[in-house]
Amino acid sequence: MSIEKMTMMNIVGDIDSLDNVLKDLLKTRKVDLVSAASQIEKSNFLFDVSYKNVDLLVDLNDIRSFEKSEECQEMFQKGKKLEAVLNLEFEVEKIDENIKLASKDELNDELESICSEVSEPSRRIEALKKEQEYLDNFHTNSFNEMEGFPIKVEDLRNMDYFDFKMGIFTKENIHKVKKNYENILAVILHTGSSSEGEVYFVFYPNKLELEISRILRSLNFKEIFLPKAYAGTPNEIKDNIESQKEKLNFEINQQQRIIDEIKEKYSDRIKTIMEQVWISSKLDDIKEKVAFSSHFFYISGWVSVSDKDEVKKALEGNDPLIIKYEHEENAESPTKLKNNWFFRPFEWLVNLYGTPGYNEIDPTPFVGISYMLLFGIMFGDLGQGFVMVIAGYFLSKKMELFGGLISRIGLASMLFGLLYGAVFGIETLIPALWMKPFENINDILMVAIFVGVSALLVAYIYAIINAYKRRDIEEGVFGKEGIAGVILYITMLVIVGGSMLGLSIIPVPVLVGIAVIALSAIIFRLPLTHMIEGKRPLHGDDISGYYVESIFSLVETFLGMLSGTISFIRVGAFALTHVGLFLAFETIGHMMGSTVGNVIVLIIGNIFILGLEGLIVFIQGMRLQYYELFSRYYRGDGREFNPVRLGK
Amino acid sequence: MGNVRRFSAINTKLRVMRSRFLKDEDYVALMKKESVIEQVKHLISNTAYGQVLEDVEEYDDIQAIELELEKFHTLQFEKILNYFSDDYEKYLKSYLLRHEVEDLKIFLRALARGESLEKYNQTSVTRKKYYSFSYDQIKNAKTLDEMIDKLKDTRYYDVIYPYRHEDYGKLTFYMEMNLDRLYFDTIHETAQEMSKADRQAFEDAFGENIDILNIEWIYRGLKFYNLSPEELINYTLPYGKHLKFEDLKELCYVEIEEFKKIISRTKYKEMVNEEKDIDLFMGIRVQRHMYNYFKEKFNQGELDISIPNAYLHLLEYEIKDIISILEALKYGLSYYEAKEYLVRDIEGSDY
Repeated sequence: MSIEKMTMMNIVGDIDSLDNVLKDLLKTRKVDLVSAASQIEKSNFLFDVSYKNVDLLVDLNDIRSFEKSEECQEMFQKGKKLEAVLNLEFEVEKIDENIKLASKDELNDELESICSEVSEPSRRIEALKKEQEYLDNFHTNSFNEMEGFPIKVEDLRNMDYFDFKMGIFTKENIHKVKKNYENILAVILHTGSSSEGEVYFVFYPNKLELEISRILRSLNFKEIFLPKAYAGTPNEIKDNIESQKEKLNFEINQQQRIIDEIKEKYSDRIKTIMEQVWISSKLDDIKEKVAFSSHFFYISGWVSVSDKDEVKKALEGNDPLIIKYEHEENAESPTKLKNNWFFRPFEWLVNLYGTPGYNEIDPTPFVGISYMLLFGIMFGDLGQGFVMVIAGYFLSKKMELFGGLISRIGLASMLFGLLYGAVFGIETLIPALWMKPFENINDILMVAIFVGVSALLVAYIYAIINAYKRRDIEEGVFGKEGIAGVILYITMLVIVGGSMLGLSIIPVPVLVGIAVIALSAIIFRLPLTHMIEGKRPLHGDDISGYYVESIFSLVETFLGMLSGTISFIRVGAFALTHVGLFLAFETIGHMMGSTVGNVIVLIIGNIFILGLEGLIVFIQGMRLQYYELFSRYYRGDGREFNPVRLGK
Repeated sequence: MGNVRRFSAINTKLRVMRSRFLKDEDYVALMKKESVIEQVKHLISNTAYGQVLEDVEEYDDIQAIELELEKFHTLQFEKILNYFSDDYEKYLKSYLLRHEVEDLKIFLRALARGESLEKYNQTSVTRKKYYSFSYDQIKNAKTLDEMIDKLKDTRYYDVIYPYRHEDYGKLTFYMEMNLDRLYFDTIHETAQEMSKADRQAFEDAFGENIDILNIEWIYRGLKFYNLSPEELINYTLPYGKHLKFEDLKELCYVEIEEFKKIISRTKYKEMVNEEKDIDLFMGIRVQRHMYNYFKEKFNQGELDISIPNAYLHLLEYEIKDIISILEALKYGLSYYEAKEYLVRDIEGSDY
């Protein structure tokens, strides 16, 4: 339940063994690589000057980085093409990490030869499909209106004094034709439709060819050319088109069979090739972080102290390597959260806000407990909670952390369902172990405030510990989230709480005195800090500015404490809403009159409450975590530990 | 969104922007300058164009000045565009198609004459980014066929491709006609998506513009191109305001004298006013008519698209005038001669 200690691992080895070393590193999934060149720049690669290391040290003067080649990209494209042509699908999800990598050239050559084998039939298919498409678009329906027309196209073609064209007019242009038809020396007939518009037949004396074609052009007439083979009557032409289509289909199928054969033959092979390409490209990506000299490679990466030996062991199979550890952790170290199985899903909530800094304490357990508590109070129901546990279980197959989160808050919901005595909204089935919220409105609101106050106090403790870890006296001791802040908050609680309950353990004047001291500490936090640290001057450049800001921020502090506390009332309010919402459905159910109707309404109501109210409560819980609690103690400015690995 | 919400801010802004247009005195002052450099200096220190003209390196490079003014127009256009979204944005952007069309026409003419396109450099980078094709690629074309080929995936291909084998005189005429038609069809189409009031405002302006262009085209077709009436009528634009298809058809089937007589009975009689050379001044008369129309619409100040429409056109006419004034001086036209070629009517210049 903490953040793991990290160490920087630097590896130097012979350049020839790089691929194997990288593969071994990837398999461990325990190393977060950083740019080795920048580590060398910072002189973090220090070696003892000894006979053995002389080459190394000389070489270090000539460092270069890895230049990625286009080869993988090219192969991916070929793979994509094959995928499309052969109708295959490669899912690079499960990667066999022990696969032996062939060289890129070999892979490329093999891909190329498969591609060339496929290219001829696939080109044929494309051409045939195009032809088919043209037929469908322009010929198939072009003669629909001409059924029974007795004259053969051939006869029309052979006429001595007349000529004809077929083509498409837009709606607007045919309108123009109609309006000026008396002046156009041609017969224009509607014959059918095409994908681009209605098809017309234009029949005119061939002496007027030029005029007519000019007129047609001015109307954006799009001519459809009829092949010589279309010689008969429209009906015959239609049959001709049909048989042509069949022929095309037959040919397409023939070519498709060739492609299917190729697919049968190569699909497994293509899969392995693409897998290797994928790994090579991934390795290339990783190599961008590796530095090279003429004989050696240099790798730097973060590894957690506990995994150190395991990583070392994994690399043992390789040629002698020099492995050195820098134990200097710093703020740049990545954060690797380590929580037990129960709290791990709550890392999702924490990371959604920000990864904890390396020097921060991991808030996950606190988030886990408080979030479950808040959710449970707001959404206590044995039945609905159970549904969430089940749903979470199935979700966790797809989204491990999120699913786990849902089942855990479902558990909390079930627990509070027992305490409230509620099953699927019905409160008469089981007795309440604790109380029924709707009958104890004041109590549930008080409980909510009490939970809120406790959570806030824990948040203050976290804030103080975090400040201590940062050695931040200003925030930790005198800050409004530091010791001064927590004292102020507690005194205020005692004053307000005492007057409400009519108790006075400590006399009010004393409390006011303590509050004033805490307040002054907050106002004078900068000079006080400087005094303790022995820094001069006590203030920055702008003294009046500092005090104006300081005093205004006091107002904010007061308001923040007040609103932060009151804010938790919503927890009680939502517990009530939960019951109230169900009451509404119950009433509708009674109004249905029949048992079946009643049951249906109750089921719908439960779905509605689970979906909508569940979501709202989920968000409200997050809001309380992020806004009221995190803002007091948590920064979340760390970098997540992201080990290199293959696969997703 | 209602029109009050849509236009109250932008139309107020446009009124302020319009107040920065040139005054008549500016026109006179410009025309009375001794040199182009003096004129540009006047523009820089006294007008809103100063902000773009300052970037010009040589003040007597009229082409460079034209480019900057065009950039100014596009910048104003972008300002207006910020106030609109969705269908209105689409509508406004379709305006820019005209610049594409104008550029294509210039290219077509040059290539048809066998000239190279290198010397044509009249579109600013600011404007190019709104183009639906790559301006520079088209400009690389060496021959007409090559240019048409490069337009293959654009909306222009279908309308100019059928004319590629015409001889020079007719080829440009046909292609230009079709490009214009495409532009008007497109803008008309995008305008249909606006609210009813805006559609009407659009159709009013558009209809008037169409009428007057149809008059110009039929006149030129009858007089210079010797087109058959059937063809002529097919090239007229639809959606005119006062001249419907039947009216246009009548115009297409008459002699030129009769044509003039018919037009002189319409609202557009100034188009065929014989006091001055009709052929020479027809182009400028078209622009003057629209200028006066838009000026009136702008001053009416309705809360609809008519103000943005009018603003963009008025600005364009003003930029045209500025260029005319600069060129008039360069080619040594007198004050009175120059005035004739301006869109805006200065000190009693008439048609």
